[in-house]
Amino acid sequence: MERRHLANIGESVPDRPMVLMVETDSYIRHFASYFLHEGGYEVNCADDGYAALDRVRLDSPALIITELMLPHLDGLALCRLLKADPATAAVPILVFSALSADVRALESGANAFIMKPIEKIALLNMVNSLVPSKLAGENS
Amino acid sequence: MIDRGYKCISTGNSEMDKILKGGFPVNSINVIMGQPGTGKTIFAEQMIFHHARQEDRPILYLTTLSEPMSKILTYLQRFTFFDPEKVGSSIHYRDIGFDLTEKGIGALNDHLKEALHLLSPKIIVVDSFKALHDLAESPPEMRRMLYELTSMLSAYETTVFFIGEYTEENSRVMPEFAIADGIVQFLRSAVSTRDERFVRVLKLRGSSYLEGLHGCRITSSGVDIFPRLVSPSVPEKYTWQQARINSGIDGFDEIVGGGLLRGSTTLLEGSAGAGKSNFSLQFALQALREGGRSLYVNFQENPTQLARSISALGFNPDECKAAGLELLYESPVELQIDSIIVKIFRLIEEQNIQRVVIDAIGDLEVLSRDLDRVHDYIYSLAQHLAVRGITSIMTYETVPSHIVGSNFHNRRFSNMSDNIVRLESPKAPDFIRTVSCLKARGTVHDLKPHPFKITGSGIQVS
Amino acid sequence: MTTSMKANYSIERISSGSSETDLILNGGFPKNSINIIMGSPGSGKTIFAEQLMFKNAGDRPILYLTTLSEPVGKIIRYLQGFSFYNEAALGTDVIYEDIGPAVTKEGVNALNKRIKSAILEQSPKIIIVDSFKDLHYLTQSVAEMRRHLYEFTSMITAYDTTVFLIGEYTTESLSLPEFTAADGIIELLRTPLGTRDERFVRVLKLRGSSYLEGSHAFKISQHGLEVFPRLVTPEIPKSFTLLDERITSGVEGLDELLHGGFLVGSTTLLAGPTGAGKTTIALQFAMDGVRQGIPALFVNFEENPTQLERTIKGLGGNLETLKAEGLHLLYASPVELQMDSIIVSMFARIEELGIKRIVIDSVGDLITTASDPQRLHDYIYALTQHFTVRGVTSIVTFETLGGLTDLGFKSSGGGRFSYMSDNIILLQVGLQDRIKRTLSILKERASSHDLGVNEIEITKSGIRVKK
Repeated sequence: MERRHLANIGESVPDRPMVLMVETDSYIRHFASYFLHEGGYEVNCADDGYAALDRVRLDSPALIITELMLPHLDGLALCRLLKADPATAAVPILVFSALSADVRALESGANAFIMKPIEKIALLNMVNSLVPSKLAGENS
Repeated sequence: MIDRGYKCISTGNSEMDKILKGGFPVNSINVIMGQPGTGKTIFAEQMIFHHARQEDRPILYLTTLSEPMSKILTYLQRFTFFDPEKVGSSIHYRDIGFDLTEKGIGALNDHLKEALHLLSPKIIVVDSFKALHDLAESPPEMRRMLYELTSMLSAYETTVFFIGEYTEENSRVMPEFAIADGIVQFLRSAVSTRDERFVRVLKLRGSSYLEGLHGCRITSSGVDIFPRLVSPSVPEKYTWQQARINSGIDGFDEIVGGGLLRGSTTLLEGSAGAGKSNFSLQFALQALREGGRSLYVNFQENPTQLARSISALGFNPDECKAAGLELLYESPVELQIDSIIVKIFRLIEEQNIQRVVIDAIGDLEVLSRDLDRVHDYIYSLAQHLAVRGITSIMTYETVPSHIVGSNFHNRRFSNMSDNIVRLESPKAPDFIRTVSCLKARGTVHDLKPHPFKITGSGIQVS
Repeated sequence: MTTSMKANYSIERISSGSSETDLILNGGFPKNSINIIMGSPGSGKTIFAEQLMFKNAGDRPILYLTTLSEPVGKIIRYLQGFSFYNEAALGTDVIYEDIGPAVTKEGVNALNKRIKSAILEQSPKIIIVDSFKDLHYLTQSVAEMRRHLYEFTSMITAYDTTVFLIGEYTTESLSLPEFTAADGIIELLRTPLGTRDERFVRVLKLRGSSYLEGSHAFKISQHGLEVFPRLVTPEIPKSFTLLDERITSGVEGLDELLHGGFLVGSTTLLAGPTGAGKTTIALQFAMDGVRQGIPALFVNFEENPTQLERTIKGLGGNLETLKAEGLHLLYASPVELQMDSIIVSMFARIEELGIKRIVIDSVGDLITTASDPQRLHDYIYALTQHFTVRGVTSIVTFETLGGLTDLGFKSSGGGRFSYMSDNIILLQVGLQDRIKRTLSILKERASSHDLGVNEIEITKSGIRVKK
């Protein structure tokens, strides 16, 4: 069992909308990446808040999915920083957590909240509703 | 809280703090053990959220192999002590399971080293610590890791808790038990079709603690603990020793030298229908007439039935309640003796009670498998009542002689009571009810049976 | 997965497939939990799981992975006898799969691979692994088992699925690592008692939920597990509602001795030797209710319906007419008596038929058949409390031996019963110059009762107290 092979699955297809997944749990990353890939998305991962900030600038994702409990910079702080920066303020954020904290997530700037664990259909429906439809529609 | 000469760390559970005489020693290493479902994790969580509220140094909670962190959180959110604001700010959860499976048990020390340096935590919880044994290549590897861990911890001001599904057998052989300063065990045992839960302290360095099994249960607010009632250690002064109180029963006081001694315990025995409940209700209601308060505990009659008995004596149950009659109905089927006695005791303290009736102590005996435990509890309760100057009646129902042939007499209850009063049911040929005082400590009393009648206003001794 | 816009944390449940078990679990198993169903061979574990599977069939598939135990064909053959079996669901909603060969070769790792592919490709709602315990025999070391188990629980926790691990676990097994990971632990027990078996189900752990503690009896029938939740003392309303209404006893002259009759909701112990008239008085009480339009239930262990009919005829009644008018009979043979099931069916009748008077003839039979006196005692205690709360007035008969005294009464649990009754009426038969039957009231709660011994006589219309 290796961290690396769990993280990125499938061939890279540059035209697809990119989702940045900020998550420490390797199994959540693995399952979510697989389902999102099936749903026509490209997925990149980060495992703490600062790494996520770096990646956002590099990848220009169509959506950020983040857990709340992250080492060093937690999910709520990450939301606030992203929304405060004009360069990233427009990127929708989906908080995906085991912690029932929807109100706090929305107050910190998240666009939607979904509770763990993963269920394929619910996750894809939520992601599709947050990513501008023309992008996802072209590829799925 | 008792001053032990060194600082304690509260468990966040006032009853558990009483058992530990304040809490766990500061900067100690402690083991919380018990089978699955006994409440170990809930106990630990309750403690850390208590400390998180104090806006102090942070707390570190490491989950090893038993379950992913998200699962712990999922269930934790249902407890009332849970505060989402504290997660990530004062309580730091870390799931180190993956690293442990990849790198071996040494990964625990790596994580601890980093956390001690970055967070300087006030409390560290490792859940489950026992699981690490399964990953260790050999017992010596486990010992080495533990040795490294303890020497690392000794340099920091932090209190550590190892949680695990340890058995008593494990506690004899596993090295963490040897180094632990405190060991607390959660247990569950089946009594017939009922389950009973207990907690006990197996070790607490540098302090005495309340020994033995303490009843507990798990509620949405955490682990609810009922410390075992022990006899009062320092008897206070018996200034009321010679004071006598009005029993409330017409004509009875003359038989016992002018009334019952204040602080005394009276065993009131008789068969069903002999008038015990009438007698004890009259006793309880007398306190109200004198402006005091009474507690009436019973296990057979629910509030409706008891209200009926009160009205039969010509009183209004609601008015009695308002005037200071405290009624406690407990089903002994559902509750452990521990919690019943503790509840009685709490009521006595909170409500400033002067008279107590327990109707009937036989019920506790009948419903418990552990008679010694019942007797110990009743004995301690009687002692507590005595030092507080609370006068009590405990009724004991003897089985009708028509049915069992001969009455049996409960020696243990009679030994622990100051007075024994027996009510006789009417018998052929003259069908007269009698009351006799078989024992009255410190009193010249009359042993003869005295006839009495039950009238609309209660018992009248002629 | 729950999507919500409010911080409202409610718990979703998976039904066990039995409404009684759901009652014990306070609604069912919490969704997304890992549960262990433990028990010895033949304790009903697999049936428990199958009942649950078919009950939950629909939307996302349910996966039943068998490791080593039995070939799938054999499992299905046995399944067909159960009423919950639904062939249409098989293969689509309920999928059986034998992973025995793979796990024999690769151990637990093969299970994990299968779980991973199932999550990715099948989105299973429920996964059952039978037997999980056997995987221990296929694993080289404890460390290996721990590692695989960690991977297993991590995957399961990440995905929206509920898992049941079945195994022949014993109390000693509780220290196995899967028990640490389990959110729910259900134990099925079977204890031989004479020629029959007593079966119990017990919840040892149910994280995130309250549950009915203790052991609950069950039996296995064509409907699967039929569970009888342990009777617990009812919640007593805090307010005082005085029920000082009295009802007639149906025995001429007895109401005068009782200050107008029995108090509504009271329990009366009617004790006496054979032939003293216990059943007759109890029947008079029930029939008296029926005459006033109050439905009554007569629970009988001693007599067969023919004998009872004869007694009713002796009282000038007709069983069929009385049945039509609201006299309900519940007959249970003491031989096959399981206390829990009797009590459950008694309560079902009380609710369903609006029963206000009940006779249990006799409680002594319950005492002799009970394997565990403590349990009987708890039951009877809770039973009388339930009667009181529901305003059901009851008479329970108890047969005393050897005339006036019965040394067996106390030791057999009868003495305990006397504590719990509101009233005790003793019937006696004396032989002096003639047969003399008497009735005396030994106890009447909340009343100053009559003190004497009263002679009674049997007339065509029943027993009456002589003036």
